[in-house]
Amino acid sequence: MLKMIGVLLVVTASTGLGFSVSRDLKLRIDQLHYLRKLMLMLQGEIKYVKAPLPEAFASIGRRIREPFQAFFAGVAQDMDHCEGETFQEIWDRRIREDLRETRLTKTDLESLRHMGENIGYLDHEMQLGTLGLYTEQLENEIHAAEKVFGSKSRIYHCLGVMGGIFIAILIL
Amino acid sequence: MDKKSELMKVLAKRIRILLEQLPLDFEDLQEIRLRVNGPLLIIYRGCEYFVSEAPSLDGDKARAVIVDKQDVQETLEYVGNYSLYAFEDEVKQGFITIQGGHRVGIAGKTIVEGDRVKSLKYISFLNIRVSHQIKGCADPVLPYIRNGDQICHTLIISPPRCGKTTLLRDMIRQISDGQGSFAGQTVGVVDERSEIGGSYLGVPGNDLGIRTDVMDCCPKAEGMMMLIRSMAPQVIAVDEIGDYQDAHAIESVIHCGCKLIATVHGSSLQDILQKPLLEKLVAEHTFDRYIILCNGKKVGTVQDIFDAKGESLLRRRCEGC
Repeated sequence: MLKMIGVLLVVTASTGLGFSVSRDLKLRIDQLHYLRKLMLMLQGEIKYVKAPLPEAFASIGRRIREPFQAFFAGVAQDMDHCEGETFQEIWDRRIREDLRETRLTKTDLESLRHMGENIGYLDHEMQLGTLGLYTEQLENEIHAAEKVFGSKSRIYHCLGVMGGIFIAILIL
Repeated sequence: MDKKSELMKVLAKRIRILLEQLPLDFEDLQEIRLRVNGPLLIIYRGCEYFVSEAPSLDGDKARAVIVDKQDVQETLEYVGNYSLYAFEDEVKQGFITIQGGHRVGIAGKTIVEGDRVKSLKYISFLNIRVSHQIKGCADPVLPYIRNGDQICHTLIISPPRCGKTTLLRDMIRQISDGQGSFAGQTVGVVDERSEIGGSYLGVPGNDLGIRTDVMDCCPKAEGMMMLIRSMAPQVIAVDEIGDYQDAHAIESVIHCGCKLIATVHGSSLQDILQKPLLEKLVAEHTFDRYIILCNGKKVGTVQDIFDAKGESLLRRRCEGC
């Protein structure tokens, strides 16, 4: 009886692991999509409202959901307080503090960090160009991640279930 | 936010730390000058001082703190609210107005397209000019610009740094609030450079009176017409008339039944007569009063006040005494 319960637990845990890995892939895609949407909103604020960054970030921060809400509002707040930190320093720190719980990969966060290096300086076109380039990069990432998800999500599901059954057979 | 915080907020961290340790009364601070590889200079209570490492205010250039490129770039980043792209037009004109109405003059290498300045790069010189609101500084001139319950069309003529914006600001406040038997009037202010109101997110930081509407960051000529159409002002106030469009808009304002108070750079009525821009307006007696400011003991010292025909009202009054 005890053996049967153990086997059941192993199969459930292993299946759950497979589904969780697959879910992480899906969440990353959703978050990349959302980040792309935020970049388009930022472009809109700069292009049409001609808003300075603190105003643009605060305005977007009020309209979006977590975890990006805290990130955008935080960046706006830090710029507003102006405690002697450059934009790059604020941007880097906030990415580290507010986006670590997301499903974005290290590479995703690194490209977001790089984007911050070219924001704020020069003219409108340069801002829009930088944001446009990053949006394109995000689209490529989304495309690649969707491909990976399409091909691997079923494998992860199956691996989870099969792995569980395999261990169960070994136990039995 | 007080003046000290407004100014400290835009300075590079190193300079901020130095100035914070100095026993300065920021109400008396007039300018902070930053030049790449030059000494850190401030104009305080009318005198120029070098800021030394100690830190202290010094007359000795050898002990002065030398401003580097990083200081200027960092300050510029804060002045531009991390968004220099949003101040393209201001950069083109050579200054940015920050919260509190303080004006930051900038100079560097210009990028010219055709015969017009397109932008500035390698910005290496900054001059932070502190804005002051001196309530009551318009008291001596107000009796001269009132005609019963009406205000006269007035032109304030003054060289730079003599307090014309400060005087204009207080005139606006007093006309708007009213004083004694003089009922307050609706004043429309076109604040092209945010210097008069020191507006932040559309709300003036300076006291411009209870009946004042401000069109912030708006070109003067367009702003004056917009205010007339939308806010029905009795008095319109603008700072620094600079081009023919402004002069044409003034003619329209005057013919709309509004009273106008404007300022212009110059040192005498003769100066203004020699400017093609204003010559016609003066010759046609468009303005009823001319207030001439000079660099006297204190900011806003009135040298003379003339009527439309160019007769000195101050002298007439003295002769009458």
